Amino acid sequence: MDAIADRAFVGLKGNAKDKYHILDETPSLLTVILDINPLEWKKLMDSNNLRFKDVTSALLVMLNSHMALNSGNKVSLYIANSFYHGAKLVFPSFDDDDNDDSQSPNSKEKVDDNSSLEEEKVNEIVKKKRSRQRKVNASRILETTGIYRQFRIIDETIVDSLDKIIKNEPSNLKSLVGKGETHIKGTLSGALSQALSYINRFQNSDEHSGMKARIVCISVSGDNTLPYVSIMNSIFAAQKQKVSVDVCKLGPNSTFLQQASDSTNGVYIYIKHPLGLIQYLSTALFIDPMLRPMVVLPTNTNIDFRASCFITNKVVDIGYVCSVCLCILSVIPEDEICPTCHSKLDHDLIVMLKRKPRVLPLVKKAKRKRNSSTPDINPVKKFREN
Amino acid sequence: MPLDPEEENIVTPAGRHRSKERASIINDDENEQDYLDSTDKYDNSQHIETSRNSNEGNDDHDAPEQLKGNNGGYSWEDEYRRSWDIVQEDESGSLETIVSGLVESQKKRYLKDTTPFQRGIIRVNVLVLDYSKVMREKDLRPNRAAMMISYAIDFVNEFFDQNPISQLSVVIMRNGLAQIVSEVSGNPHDHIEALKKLKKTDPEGDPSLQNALEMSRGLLLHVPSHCTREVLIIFGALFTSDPGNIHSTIQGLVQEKISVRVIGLTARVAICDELCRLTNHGDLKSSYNVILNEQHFKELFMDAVTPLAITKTESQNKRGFSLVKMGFPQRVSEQSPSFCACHSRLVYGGYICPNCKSKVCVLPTVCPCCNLTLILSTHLARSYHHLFPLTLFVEVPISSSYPTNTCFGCHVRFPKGVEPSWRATDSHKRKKEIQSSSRYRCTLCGCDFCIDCDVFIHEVLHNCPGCESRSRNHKLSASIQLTSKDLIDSEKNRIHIHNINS
Repeated sequence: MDAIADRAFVGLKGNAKDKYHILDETPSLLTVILDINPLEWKKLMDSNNLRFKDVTSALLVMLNSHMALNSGNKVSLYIANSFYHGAKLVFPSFDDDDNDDSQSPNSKEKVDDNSSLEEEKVNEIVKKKRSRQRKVNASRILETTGIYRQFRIIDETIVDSLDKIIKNEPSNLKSLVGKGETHIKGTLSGALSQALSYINRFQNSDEHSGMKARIVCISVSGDNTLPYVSIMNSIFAAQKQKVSVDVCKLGPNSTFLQQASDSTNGVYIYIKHPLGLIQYLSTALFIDPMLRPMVVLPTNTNIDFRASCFITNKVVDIGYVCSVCLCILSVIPEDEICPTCHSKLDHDLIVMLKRKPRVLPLVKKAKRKRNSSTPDINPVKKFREN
Repeated sequence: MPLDPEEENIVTPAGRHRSKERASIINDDENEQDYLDSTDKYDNSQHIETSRNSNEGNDDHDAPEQLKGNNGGYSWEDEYRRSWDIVQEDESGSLETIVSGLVESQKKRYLKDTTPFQRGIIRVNVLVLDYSKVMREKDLRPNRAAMMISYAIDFVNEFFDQNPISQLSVVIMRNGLAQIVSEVSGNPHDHIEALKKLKKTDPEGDPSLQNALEMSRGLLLHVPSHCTREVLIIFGALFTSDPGNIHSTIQGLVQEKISVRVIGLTARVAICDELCRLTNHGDLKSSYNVILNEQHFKELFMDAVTPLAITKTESQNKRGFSLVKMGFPQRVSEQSPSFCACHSRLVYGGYICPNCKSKVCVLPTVCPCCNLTLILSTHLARSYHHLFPLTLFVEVPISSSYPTNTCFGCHVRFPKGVEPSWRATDSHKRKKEIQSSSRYRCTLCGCDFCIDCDVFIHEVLHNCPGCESRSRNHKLSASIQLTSKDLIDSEKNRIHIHNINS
C-alpha cells in the first residue's frame, strides 16, 4: 500500500516539476483589441458613468502587469471600430517613417543621399524631438513620472495616440458626412486579421519561435457591426494558430464573439460592473496560454450556436440551407430561387419539403388502409387523437 | 580564372576586387548546385522571352535569332552560368538587397486560381488506398505504404477542417480484394484511428481496381443528390487483377455521377487514364496525376481537399439545386451525466436536437432519432472561403520609391526603392530579375503585404486585413492605383517566380 502511494506521489511530483519548469521559461505575446466605437461609448458613458479614461488606465495596468511577469513578454494594442481610422495598430508603433513621408518627401530623399552616419544623426534628432513632444503630451495625462522605462514607453505611446485619435474623430467624422460617405462598417475583424498576421510573423521568426500568443478583445458594440464571414474566417485562423481569443464584453452581448472565444479556448466575460473593469482584466482575462490546460476558465458554457436567417434575421432552430451558397433560410422562398446566389431550386424537392405531416384518422382504420400513401405519420398527434 | 599568387598580393583596387570575388566563389560552392538548378529552369522562360524580343541585344555572335540566349550567345550556353555572377553588390557595396531577393524567390507564393466557382460543398468521398505488395517498395521513405498512410492522416484532418459537413470513408485494395477500413462517417477520429490500426498490418497481394470501384459505388449508392460523390485512389501498382470487366464498372460509375481522382505513385496507367477521363467529363489534368517526389505527393493529396467545381454540363442537366433541411441545435451543460442518443454513452452536456429533443454528443451528425442533419453555423462558415475566395495580390513593380515602408499585416520593414539609373544598366540585368519590390498589393484596398503575410492571408486567414480595416468603402487614390501596364508587368514577374520554384 505504502509503495503504491509512494510511487504515485513521486510521479506526480516529477510531473508537476516539469510543467513548472516549462511554464517559467516561455514568454508570451498579449494582443489587445480596443473597440472605440464612439456611439456605443457615448451610450456606456451615459448609462454607467464610465469614462473612457478609466478604461484606458485599466488597460494600461493590464499591459504593464503582463510585461512585469516575464522580461521576454511582449504586448501590442490595436484599435477597432473607429469611424474614421477603422482598425489600426497603436502599439508598438511603426509609423514614424510614414509621418516623415507625408510631411516632407523631399527631405527624406536628401537624407537617403547622405552618408549613413549623417542619416542616423538626423534620425536621432528627429526621434528626440518627437519623444520630447510626446512626453509633454503624455505628462498632461499621466500623473506619475518616475516609472520603469519599459512601462513608460508603452504608456506614453498608447495614451498619446489614443488621445490624438479621439480628438480628431469628431472633425474627421464631420468631413466624412460632408462628403456623403455615411456607410460605416465594423472593423473588429480587420483588427483581428492584422493581429493574427502579426502573430504569424512573430511565431515564425527565429527570435521568438514557439512564443505563445493570445488576443483580448475589449468590445462595446453588438453583433450588427460585425461582418459575419470575415469574423468567422479570423476565428478559424486563430484556431489553427492556437491563439485563444478572450472577450471582455461591455454593452450588448455578442453571439459571434461568444462563438469566437468558445472555439479558440478563450474566456468570454460580460462585465456587469464596468467600474471594476480593472479587476476583471487582471484576474479572469489574465490567464496565460501556458496555464490554460490547468485552469478552469471563467467563461459561460451556454452558448447560442443557432444561426440567424439570411432574410428575416431571426434565430433559426430548423432551417433550410442552399446547397450552392450555404445560406441559411428560415422559410422556403416563394419564387424557388435562392435569395443570395440566385440559383434555381429543384421544384420537386421543395414540394416534398413543404408537405405537412398528415394525421391518420384512427388506428383501426389505419391498419386496413396501410397501403394508402401516407408516409409522414406523426406519432404524437396520433396518440392524442386516440 | 587562373590567379597568379604574386598578383594576388598586390593591393590595388583591382586586386582587392578579385580576391573578394574569390571569396564569394568559395562561399557559394555549396549552394552552387541549387543555383544551377534554379537557373536552369529560369533559363527556359528566359529563352522564350528573349526570342520574342529578338530585335534587341548585341549582334556580335552569328547565332540565329531564335536560338540566341541572354548574353548574345546560344541559349544553351547560358545554362552554365556561374552562381557568383548573380551575386553582385549594389551601388552602396552591400549584398543585402540581392540576398533578400534570393531568399524571397525561394519562398513560394500562393498562386491558385481564385475565380469563384460554384462548388459541391457537401461531399461524400471514398479514399481508396493501394495496400498491395508493391507498396512495400522503398522508393518513398520509409516505404510507400507508411508514407501514404501518414499523408492520408494529414489529408483526413485537413479534409474535415475545410469540409466539416462532408463525409469520408476509407477502403484498401489488398490481396485482390477491397476491404473497408472505416465506414462512411463525418467524424475524423474514426478514420484516423482506423488508419493508425492499418499501419500495423503489412501490404499484401495484388490490387484490384474493379473491386475497389465496385465497393465505392456501393458505399456511395445511398448518397442524396445534393452531395457530390467522389473517389480518391492512391494507386501504386502498374497492374490490376480484376474478377470481371472493369470497363462496365467504369460505365456504371459514370451513370452514378461518381467522379474519380487518381494519384499514381509509379507511372501513368491506361486504365486509370480512361477511368478519370470518363468520370470527370474529360478533365484529365486535375484528376489524374503521377507524383514526382514526396513534396509533390503531399501537394496532390492536399489538392483533393478543395471541393470540386461544378461543371457547366452538370448544372445544365440538373433541374435545379436542392435546399437541405438542417437543424441548428443548442448546446447544453449539465450537472449530472445523461446518455447520448448517438453512442449510448454517459456524457456531461451535449447538443439537443431541435426536432425531437434527443441528445447527441458530437456535431456534425445526423440525428439518430429523427434523421435530421444537425450542424453548427460555424461548420457552414468554414466552407465559405471556397465559395468566396480572396483575390490574389499583385506584385508591385520595382520603382525608385514606394508609398509604403512596412507590411500592413506584420509591420516588417520593406526594402527601399531602387534608383532608376542603377536599374537601367545592362550589366545588372540578371540581378534586376532576381530583385523584387517585396511588396504584394491587394487590388481592392491598395495595402502592401510581405510575402509571408501574402501566403498566410491566402492559405489560412482568407480575408484581407487591409479591406477589413477600412471603416468605409474605400476608393483607391490615384497614386496608389496600379496602371494596367504595371499589372501586366507584375503578372510576368509572377509567372517567372513560379517557374523558378516549380
